[in-house]
Amino acid sequence: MKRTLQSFLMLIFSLSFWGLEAQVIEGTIYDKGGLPLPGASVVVVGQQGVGTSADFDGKYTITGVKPGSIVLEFSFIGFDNKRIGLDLKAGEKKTVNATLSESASQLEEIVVVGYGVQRRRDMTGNVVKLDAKKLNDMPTPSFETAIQGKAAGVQIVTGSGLAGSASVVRVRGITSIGAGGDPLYIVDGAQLNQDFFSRGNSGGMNQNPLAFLNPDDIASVEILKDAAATAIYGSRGANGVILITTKRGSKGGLKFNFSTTQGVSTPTRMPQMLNSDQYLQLYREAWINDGNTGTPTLPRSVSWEDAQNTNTDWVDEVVRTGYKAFYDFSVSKGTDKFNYYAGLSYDENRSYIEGDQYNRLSGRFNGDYRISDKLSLSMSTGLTRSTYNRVDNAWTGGLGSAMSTALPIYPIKWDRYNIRNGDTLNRPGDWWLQAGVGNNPVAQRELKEWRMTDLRSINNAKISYSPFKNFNILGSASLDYFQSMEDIYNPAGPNTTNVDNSTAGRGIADRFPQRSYNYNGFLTGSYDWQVNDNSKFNFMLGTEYQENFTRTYSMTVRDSLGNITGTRNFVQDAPGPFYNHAELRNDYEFDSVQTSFISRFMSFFGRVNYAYKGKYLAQAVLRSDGSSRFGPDNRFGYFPSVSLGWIISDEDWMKNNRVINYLKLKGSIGWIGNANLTNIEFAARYRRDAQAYDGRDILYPLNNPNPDLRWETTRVFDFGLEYGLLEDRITGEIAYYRKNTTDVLLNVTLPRVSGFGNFYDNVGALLNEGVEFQIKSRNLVGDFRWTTDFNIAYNHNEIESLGGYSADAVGGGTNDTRTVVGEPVGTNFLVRFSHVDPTTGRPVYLDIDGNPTFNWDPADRVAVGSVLPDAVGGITNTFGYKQWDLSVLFVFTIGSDIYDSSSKRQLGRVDDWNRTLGTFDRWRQPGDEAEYARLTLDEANLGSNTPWINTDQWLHDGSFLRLRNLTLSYRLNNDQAKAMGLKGAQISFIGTNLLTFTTFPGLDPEIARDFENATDRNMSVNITYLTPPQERTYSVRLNVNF
Amino acid sequence: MLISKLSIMKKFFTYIIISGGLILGTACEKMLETDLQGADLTEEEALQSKQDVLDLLQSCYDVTANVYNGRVQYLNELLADNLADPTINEDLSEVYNHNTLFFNGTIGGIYQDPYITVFRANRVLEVIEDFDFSATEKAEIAAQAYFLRALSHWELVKLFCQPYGYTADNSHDGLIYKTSTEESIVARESVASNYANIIADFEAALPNLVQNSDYYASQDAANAYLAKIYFQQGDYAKAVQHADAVINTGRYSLGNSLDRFELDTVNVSEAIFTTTSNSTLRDFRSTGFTDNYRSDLDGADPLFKANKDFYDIYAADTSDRRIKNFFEVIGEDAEAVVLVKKFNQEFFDIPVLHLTDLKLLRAEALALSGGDLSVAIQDINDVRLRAYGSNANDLAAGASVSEVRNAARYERRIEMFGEGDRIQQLKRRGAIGGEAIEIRNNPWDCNGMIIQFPISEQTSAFDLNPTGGC
Repeated sequence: MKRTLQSFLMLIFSLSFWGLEAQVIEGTIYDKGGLPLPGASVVVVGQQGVGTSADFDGKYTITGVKPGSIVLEFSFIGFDNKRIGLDLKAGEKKTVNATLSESASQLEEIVVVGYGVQRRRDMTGNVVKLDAKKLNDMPTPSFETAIQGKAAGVQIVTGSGLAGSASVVRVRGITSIGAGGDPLYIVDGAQLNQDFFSRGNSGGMNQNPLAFLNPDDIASVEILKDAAATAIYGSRGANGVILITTKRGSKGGLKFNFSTTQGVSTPTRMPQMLNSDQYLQLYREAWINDGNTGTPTLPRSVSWEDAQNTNTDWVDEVVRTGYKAFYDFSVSKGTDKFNYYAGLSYDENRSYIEGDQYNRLSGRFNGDYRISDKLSLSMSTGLTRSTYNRVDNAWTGGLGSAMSTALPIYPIKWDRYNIRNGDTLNRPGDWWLQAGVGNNPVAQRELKEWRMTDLRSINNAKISYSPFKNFNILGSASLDYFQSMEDIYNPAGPNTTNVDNSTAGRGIADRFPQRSYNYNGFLTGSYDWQVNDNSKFNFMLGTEYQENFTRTYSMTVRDSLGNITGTRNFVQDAPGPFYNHAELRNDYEFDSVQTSFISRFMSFFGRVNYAYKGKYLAQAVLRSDGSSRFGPDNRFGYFPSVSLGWIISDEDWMKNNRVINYLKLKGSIGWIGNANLTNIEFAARYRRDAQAYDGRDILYPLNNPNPDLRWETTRVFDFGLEYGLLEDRITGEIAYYRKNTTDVLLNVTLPRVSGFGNFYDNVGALLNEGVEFQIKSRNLVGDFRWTTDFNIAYNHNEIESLGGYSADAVGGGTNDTRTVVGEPVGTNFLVRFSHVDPTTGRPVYLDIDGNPTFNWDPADRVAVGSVLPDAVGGITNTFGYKQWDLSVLFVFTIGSDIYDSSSKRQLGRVDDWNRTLGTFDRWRQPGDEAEYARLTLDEANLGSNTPWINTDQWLHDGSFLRLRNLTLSYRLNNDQAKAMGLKGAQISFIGTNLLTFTTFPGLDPEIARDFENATDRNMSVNITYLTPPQERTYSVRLNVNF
Repeated sequence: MLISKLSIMKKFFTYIIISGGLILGTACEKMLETDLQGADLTEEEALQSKQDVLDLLQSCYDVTANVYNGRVQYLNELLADNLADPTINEDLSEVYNHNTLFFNGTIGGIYQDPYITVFRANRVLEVIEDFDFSATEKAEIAAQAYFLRALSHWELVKLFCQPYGYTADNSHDGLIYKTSTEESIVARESVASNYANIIADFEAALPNLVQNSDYYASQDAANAYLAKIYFQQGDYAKAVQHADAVINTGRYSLGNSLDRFELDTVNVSEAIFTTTSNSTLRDFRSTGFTDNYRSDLDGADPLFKANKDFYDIYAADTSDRRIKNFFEVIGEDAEAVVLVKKFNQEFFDIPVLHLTDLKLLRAEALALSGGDLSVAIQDINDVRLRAYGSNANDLAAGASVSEVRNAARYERRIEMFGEGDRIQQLKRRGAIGGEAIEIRNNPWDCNGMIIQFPISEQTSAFDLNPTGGC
C-alpha cells in the first residue's frame, strides 16, 4: 500500500530521484537530554542539495555524498546549529550522531511575516509564533481556541458549548466600535472570508467561519500585533493579523502519520433549575405575597392539579454526554526538487447538547516544485465539507428554554385526550404544545430538521522567480470559496407545530443556498543588498488586489401568466428536507441570484529593512489601500510605519555578561486602518420590491447616505524588550503599546424621526494602552525536564470622544452595554442595585445621585462595573521524564465583570420562566436580610412598571482561573515502536476545562454569547444570556508514524 | 553582469511602481466602484422615470399598511380600558401599566414607521419637479404625499403627546413635523403647531385628490380624517361638516355584517379608507390583529383578551348580537377570561376609516354642539339596527342631548373595540369636555397616559416625555 502510494505520488511529480551515489552517512540527532529530534535537518556544507531531515526517531540517512573532507551541518528550530567535520572515502558508510543544544531564544527561528519571512533575530515587529505542537495539544472545535493562554495580548473567548459556535479573538484590545474588531486571518497567503454573520444570529448562535480548518494541518500560526508587523496589511491590519501556515513536506523519505482522538464531553457546569414542587411552592409564595387568595393562576392556563402531577427535568432532556471522534491521516515527502503534504481528516463533534453535531471532512494537498534554481512553484489547497446538525439554543430554545420558559410543570407529551368543542385536538403521546413549541425543547428538536451543509475550499498558488542572486519575484493568487446550504424542515399536520396544513401540506422545506468568493492576488519583488560587511538592506515592493462577494439563491415565483412575482426559499407540502429528498432538489431550481457584500481592495506596498552590524535594525513600511467601501473623495488610505531595533547584547560591553546573554530593544510607530464595513454606506441605496403592496411594485430608500465616510485609523506606538538570561534558560519579552484610534466608525442609532434606524459615521476617538509580559523558563533540564511558559497582559480601553453622540446612540445589540466617554467600549450602563430592604423585601436602588430609592428608573443608569479585565494570560508547565510528558495549561482572567442577563428573569419577578436555585436566598418576612427581593408576580412590587429590569445586581465578578488543558503523553521508544512495525507512536490522555476557580455564580465565566452584528460583537463580550456553558472534555489521542 | 541584474531589478520595481501608481491613479478608480449589493440601486438608478416616482409613493402606502396592521390600534387600546393586561409581553405590559420606558422596542418600531412614510412622502415632493408630470398629475401626487404625511403625524401625536386641550393654548410638547428629508437636530414643536400642520396638509391635499378610493388617498378619506381631527379638537361644527361631506355622498352604507374586518373590504360597504391584504401573494397586513387576538387557534391563549369590566357592561344586554359575535368567555368566576372573536380570520383588510365611526362621531358632535338631534338619533339607530337586528333598541325620537351623547359613546366603544378609538375619546372628554376622566384609576392626563419616545430621540434639543409613568 505504502509503496503503491509512493509510486503514485512520484508519478504525479514525474521525477526521478533514485540516481544515488555510493557514499552514505547515517546517524541519529538527539537533544541534550538524549531524546531524538524528529524533523531536524542535516546538510553537507558545500554540496548543494545533499542533505535530509531526521525521521520520527531522529534517524537520518544521507546518500549521494561526494567523498572527501566534508562538513555536516545539523539544524533544528529552537536549537543551535552544529557542524561536524569528517573524512569520507569513496564507497564508505559512516555513522555520525549529533547532539544539539536547545536555543531557547529561538533567534534563528524563521517567522512568517506579511509577504515574506524574517529571522526572528532581525525582526523589529511584535510577532508571536505558535507551532503545531502548541496548537495540537488539545482537541478543539476550531484552531483559534487552542491559542488561548499561549500568546500575550491575544484574548480569546471560546464561544459557547455548541459545536459550531464562534469564538471572539481580540489582539491588544478593541480598536473599533462599529466596524469588525476581529483580526485578519490569512491561510498560506489567502485572505479568509471571515463573516461571523453569514447566517446572522440564528438558533442563538453565530456560526464559526474558522471551523473549517483541520488543526492537524497547521504547521504554525503567527500573530502580528504591532504596527511594525501589521502596517504591511494597511487598512486591514488594525485588529492584528493571524497568519496560518499549513504543513508542507520536509526533506526525507515518505512519511505517514495517523492520529485519532476519541473523547467525551459534559458541560463545565450543569444548569440547576427548580423542579415542579419547588416552582409551585415559590409561585404560590409570590401569589400570597401579592395579596391574592385561592389557587394561583399558572402560566399558560395550566391547572394547579396538572402542574402538581408533572415534573419535567428539561435540562436533563436536552443535555447528553457529548462524543468526539477525530481521525487524521497524512503523507508527506520532500526532496531537493519537490515536496508535498497530503492529508485527510474526519472530525465528528457531538456536543453535550442533544441534536447538536458538527461533522467535518477535510482534505489538503500542499506541494512545492523547484523547476530550477531560479524558478519554483507552490500550491496549497484545502477542501472541507462540513455538515452541522443544528438545534435551537439560548434564547431560541433548547437548553435556553430549559433554563427559562420550559417550566417543570409542562409535560413533554399529552397523557390523555385533549377535547375541545367535541373535537379531539390531541391524543395521548402527542407533543404537548400548549405553551408553544419553543417551551417544549424536546418537541422543538424532534419536529424540526435543521442542517447546515458547507463546502469550503482555500486555494493558493505561488510562483517564485529569482533572475539572479538575492532578487526574488513572487506572484500569488488565491481563492477562498465558501458554499453554504441551510436546510430546515418543519412537518405539518396533527401533532406538529403546524396543525393547519391546508397550505403547508406534509410540511415546509426551507433551503437557503449561499456562495461566497474571495479572490486575492499579489505580486512582490524583493531584493537583499549586502552593501558591505556591516550594512544589509532588504527591499520589498508589492501590489495586491482583492475582491469578495456573496451570492444568495432563491426560487423565482411566477403567477399563472408566467410573470415573475417574487422569490421564495420554501416548498410547501414537502415530504422532508431537501437534503434527504432528491425529488425536491430536482424539481425546484434556485434560479434567482442576489449578490451582496461586494468589496474590492487595490493596494500598493513597500518595505525596507536595514541592519547595521547585525545589531542595529530598522524597518520602514508604507501601504496604500483603495477600497470600494468608501466614496470617491475618501477612497484611498495611506498607512506607514517605522521601527527600530537594537540588539544590545551584541555590544562589546555586554558580550561577557554572565546573566544576560540576549537583549533586544525595539520600538515602532505606525498608522493602520480598518475598513470592515459590510455594505456601501456612503451612497444612497434604494430597493425595488415587486408586487409589494396591493400587488404593485414599490421603490424605497434604504439608508441615510454618508458621503464623507472614511477609514478608521489607528496610530500604534510599540516598545518592546526581548531577553535571554542564563544562557537562554530564561527567555521572554516585555512590551508596551499605545493605540489611538481616530475617525472611529460608528453605527450610530439615529433619531427615528429621520426615518432610518441607523447611520454610519466617523466620530470619536478610542484609546488602547497596555503592557504584555512573557517569560519562558527551562527550570529543569536533563532526564527530568520542566519548562514553564507564562504570559500576562493588561489592556486599558477608553472611549475618548463620541463626537457629540450620547451614550445611548450606540448600543450593543440587545444588551445594556453602551458607549460612554471615559469608559471602555461596551460599558454596562445600569441602574445600581443597593440591597433588599429587610422590612418590605423590596429591592432598593440608587438614583443618579446615589440616593436610595424603591423606584427603578432607567434615567438613573450609570456606567458600572469593569468590562475589561485587569489581566488575562496563561501559564503552561511542561514536565518530561523519559517517554512521559505532562503538560498543564492554566488560563486566567482577572478583574472583569460579567453581566448575566438571564438572571433578571431567573431571579427577578416570578413569571413564566423557571428559576435558578439562588432564588432560595430570598426575602420572606420582615427582618430577613436576603440576597434577592420578595417573590412577586407584580413588577410594581419591585419598583418598576416593566417586568424584567436590568440592574447591576446581575453584574458579577467574572475573574477565573481555569485548568484549560491537561495532557499526559507516553511516547514509544525506538525498540517498542519497531516491534510494532512503526516509526513512532504516542498516546495522550487529554482533559480540557477540568477545573474552574471563580466566584461567578452563573454557569461559565468564560463565555461569548450570540451577537447581532459587528457592533454587538465589539460591545457585548461580557454578556451572557441563556448561553450554553463550555464543554469539559476527556479524550485519548493516538498518534502513529510509519 | 551586475548592471544587467540591476536593470532587471529596476525594471521589475518600475513595473510594480507603475502598477501601484495606476491603482492609486484615477485610471483604476473605476475598478473600485462596485455594484450595490443584491438588487439595491443608487438613487440615480432608482429614480429614472415617472413610474419610479409613483413606486416611491406606493412605498408610503406599504408602510402605512404596516402601521395600521393592528399595531397602532392595540397601542391605543392598551392605554385604555378595553383590554386585559398582556402580562407576558414586556413591552406591551408597560403600555398597559401606563409607564412606558424609553427602551421599549415595540414603541420604537411604531414611532419610526410613520416617519419612514414621512421621509418618503417628502422625498416624492422634493423630486417631483424633476419629472415630466402634467400639472394635474403633479398636483394629485403631491396631494397624496400631503395626505400620507398628515395621517402619519396624526397617528403619532395621539400616542406620544398629551391631547389637544391639555393646555389652554396647546403649547405643550408635540412632535417634530417633518416637511423635508434634511437631517437636523431640532426641538419638539407644540401640539397646536402639530394640529395646524396636520390640518393644513389634509386641506392642501383635499382639492387634488380623487373623490374616493378603496386603498389610496381620496377626498372622502381626507374629509373623514379632518372630521376626526376636528372632533378631537372639540371643534364639533367642523367635525360635523367634514363628516357630512363623506356621509352625504351616499357612497357608503353600514351593511349587514357586524364585523367589518373582512378579507375583501371592497365588499364592506362602509369602508372609506382601507389598508389591504393580498391572498394570492399571501401578503397579510393584519398580523397586529391576527397574531394577538385570535381565539380560534388550537390551545388559544392570545396575548390580548378583553377587559372583564368592559365586557360585563355590554354582556348584560343579551339582545346585542355584537357580544356573541365579538367575544367568548372561557373559565368561570374569578378565572373567567374574555377572548376576542372579532379578528378570527387568517387575514383581512383593515377599514381604517368607516361609516360607523363617522356616524357615531357626527351624532356625538351634533349633541355636543347643539346640532340637529334627529340626524344624530338616526345615526345611532342605524348602528343599533345592525347590532340588534331590529329597531327594538332604537333611541327614542325625543331623546335628550345627554341621552344622544351617551348612546353615541356607548355604541362607539363596542363598535370600535380593538380599533384604538376608546383612549382618544376619553382624553377628548377630559381635555375638551373637562370631565374628571380616570382610566383604570389613572387620570387621563397623567404622564404615563402618553407613550414614551424611544431613547434614540434624545438629543440636545429634543426632550423625552416625563419618566415615571402615572
